[in-house]
Amino acid sequence: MGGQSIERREILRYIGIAAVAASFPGFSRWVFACPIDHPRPAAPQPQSQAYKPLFFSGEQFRMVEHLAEMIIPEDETPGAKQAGVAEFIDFMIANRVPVSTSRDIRSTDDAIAAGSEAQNRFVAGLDWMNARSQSLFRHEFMQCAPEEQNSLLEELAYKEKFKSTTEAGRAFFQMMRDYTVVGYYTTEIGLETLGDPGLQTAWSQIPGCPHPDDPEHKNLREPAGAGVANNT
Amino acid sequence: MLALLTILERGRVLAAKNFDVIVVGTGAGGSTAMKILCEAGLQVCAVNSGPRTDPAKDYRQHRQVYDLKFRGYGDPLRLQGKAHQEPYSVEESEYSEGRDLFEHDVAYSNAPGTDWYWKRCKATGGKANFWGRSSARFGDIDFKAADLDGFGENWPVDYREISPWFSRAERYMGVASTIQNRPSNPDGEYLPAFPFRCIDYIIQKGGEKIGVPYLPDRCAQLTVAHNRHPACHYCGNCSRGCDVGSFFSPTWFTIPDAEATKNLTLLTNALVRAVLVDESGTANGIAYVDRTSRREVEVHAKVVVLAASCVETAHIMLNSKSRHWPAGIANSSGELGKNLCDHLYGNPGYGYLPQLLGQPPRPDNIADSTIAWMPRWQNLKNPREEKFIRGYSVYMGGGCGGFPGYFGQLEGFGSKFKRDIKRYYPATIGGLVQAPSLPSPTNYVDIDPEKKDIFGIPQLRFQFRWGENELLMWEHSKQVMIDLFKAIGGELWGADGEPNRPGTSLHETGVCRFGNDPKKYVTNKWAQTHDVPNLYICDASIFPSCTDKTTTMPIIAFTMRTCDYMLDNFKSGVHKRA
Repeated sequence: MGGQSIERREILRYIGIAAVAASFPGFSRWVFACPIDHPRPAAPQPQSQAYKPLFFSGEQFRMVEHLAEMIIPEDETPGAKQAGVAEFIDFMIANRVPVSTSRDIRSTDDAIAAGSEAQNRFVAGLDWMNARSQSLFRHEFMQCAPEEQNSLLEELAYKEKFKSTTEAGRAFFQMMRDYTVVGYYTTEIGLETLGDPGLQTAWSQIPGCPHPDDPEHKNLREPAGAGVANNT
Repeated sequence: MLALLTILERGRVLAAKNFDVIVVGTGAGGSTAMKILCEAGLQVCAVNSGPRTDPAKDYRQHRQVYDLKFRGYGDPLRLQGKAHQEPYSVEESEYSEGRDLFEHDVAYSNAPGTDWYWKRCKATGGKANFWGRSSARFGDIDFKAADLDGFGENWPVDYREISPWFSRAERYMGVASTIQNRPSNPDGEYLPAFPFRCIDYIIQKGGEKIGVPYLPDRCAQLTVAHNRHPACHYCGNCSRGCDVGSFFSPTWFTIPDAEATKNLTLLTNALVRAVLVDESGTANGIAYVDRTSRREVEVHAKVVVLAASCVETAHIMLNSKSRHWPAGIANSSGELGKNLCDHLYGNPGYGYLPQLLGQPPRPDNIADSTIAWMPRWQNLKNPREEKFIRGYSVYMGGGCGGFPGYFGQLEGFGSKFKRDIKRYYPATIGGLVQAPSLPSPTNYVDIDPEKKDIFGIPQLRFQFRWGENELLMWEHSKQVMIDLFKAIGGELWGADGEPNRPGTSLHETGVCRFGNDPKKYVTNKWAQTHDVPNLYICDASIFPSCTDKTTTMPIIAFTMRTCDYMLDNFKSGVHKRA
């Protein structure tokens, strides 16, 4: 049903962006109002030491945390761990919030079915990763060397390295990556790495394009290290 | 609320006060009617189906997504047990903290083969609290389309006649745009326009190469302070309600104006079931269900205005059966509920502009608005030039802002993946086609013969499918995007596989169409029903056809005109005061 619920009011913000939610229906379904009365409900705080997972076992949680950090690592800017992505995933999975689903959600039952499916897929997916690393490297995933972990993920992440036998693993990786990206870029840390203008909630005016004398923007140079530099 | 109620038989109650006018619905049309009629000194009772909107509690108020427990997705159990559990998106979100603004108690049905998505905001102000603000004038290319291409019939009003009310609506609301000298998209009275973003200049140049106009949209958003309303502060949260009233909404504009007159009685949580009639079949009030007590209440008035949002207006009328009106009030033509139209929405193409990759993030979307669009350019010189008749418009968006929803297009993981996400942030663009469906005898609403809602009111049933003409426009728009991306040096990632579900645009029109012939139309050119002279309609249900433009500003303009006519009727004694 990709992109079914993209609509103008959201598209104004995310058009071409949420447009692409076609490939990620979960996000375009920015739905279900929250029944809680607190003005600012507290989300689970990123504090790995003390955090007690709601859904995952301790071992599963550490693996989720590790995978999330591999997907969005700390480099010039903070990574998934610092942004509390594993806690986000645990919380959303435990509450059966369908963050990444191809299902069409038209009722509470649909939402719960999608959320339950995500629970099962996560558990099965982590098991798959361990079985795969056992067969490749004779260790569970977390016991493998970093380069082994990396090569396992690469064969799930890059088309040219896909193998016909890893379909289930690729589906899990895609879901894991969806949850990680959503978890990271819905935090202040994540949005700051992008320089999201929405973090500033009052502007005296819209600055507009700074290069109106180059309407086709043919003469822009991509800044060295683009995407890496801090935006301040 | 009404202080004095008289108990009638079977537990029904009657409001003690009689009003000059009852207005059903407080959205763009209803609240405009309330304002004008109250300011003219009439005693008005406005009836709203849900609670009062309170911006301080109901709106986003600059909260960020990370302030929300479920990061905006909300608790999946939120609608458990509700009669209508399908979640609405965007307008209804975790930002409103589960406040009861949207309709989930009253169910509706779809006939087999119909997949209508009926989104209803029941709180005061309705969907106009959260609307998209695009406010183009309709032109004679719309009003006299039948003369041009031979399909259907003209509107009973032409541009010359309505344009003073367009001006009045624009002056009241405040609309930002530029003078563009295109008769198909007539110019109005405008505040300064939004400046173009990088993507807008690039798209405009590309559009020139392929013969597609790309111009500032008409946005009802205050680029400067206007009529005591503050200029926009560009927090970018418009679609979740404005915290200060820097764009037109009933909550900040018309409802406070109406209340300032002290001539308004506003009833909330009052779900209107039917228009009541007297011995002669003339409207004399309404019956509503008080959602809290579940009691049925009657209110009486000399004139009734329905502005319940297009199909709900037809729903109420179809359910208003009496000895005089066995098929629903003012339905001697049998046309009530017929010719439902909608905008076909869908993304005909999205991708990115390589020339913007890696540029520093810029505040491209802090207005949360349609900065620019491609107003209809098809079939202008020759109405039969394309395979389809009439025409569509396309909004374009993109650039920096919010969540990087394009990440699924980027392969991999790790630092490279993270850098790529940032690198593409300023560069993605995409479209939204707005293609009008043609009136069709197979697209209509009626009353479900069996199902009733939890208040015992017979449900509305939709019968609607996209027709060939609008689907041809959809295909055409996808080819245009391919050509455009070539012309701008962009990389196209894809397009929606199929259009959005009917109803998505919130631009339904028709079902109580206006026209001069009482045998073919429900109301006359003043939106006064042919059959019942003291029953008026102030919403998009009167529009006999859909155009490439949005409906809210025209609803307000036509409502102003209808109310002026009604006031003349009060002055001349056609309508008596209560």
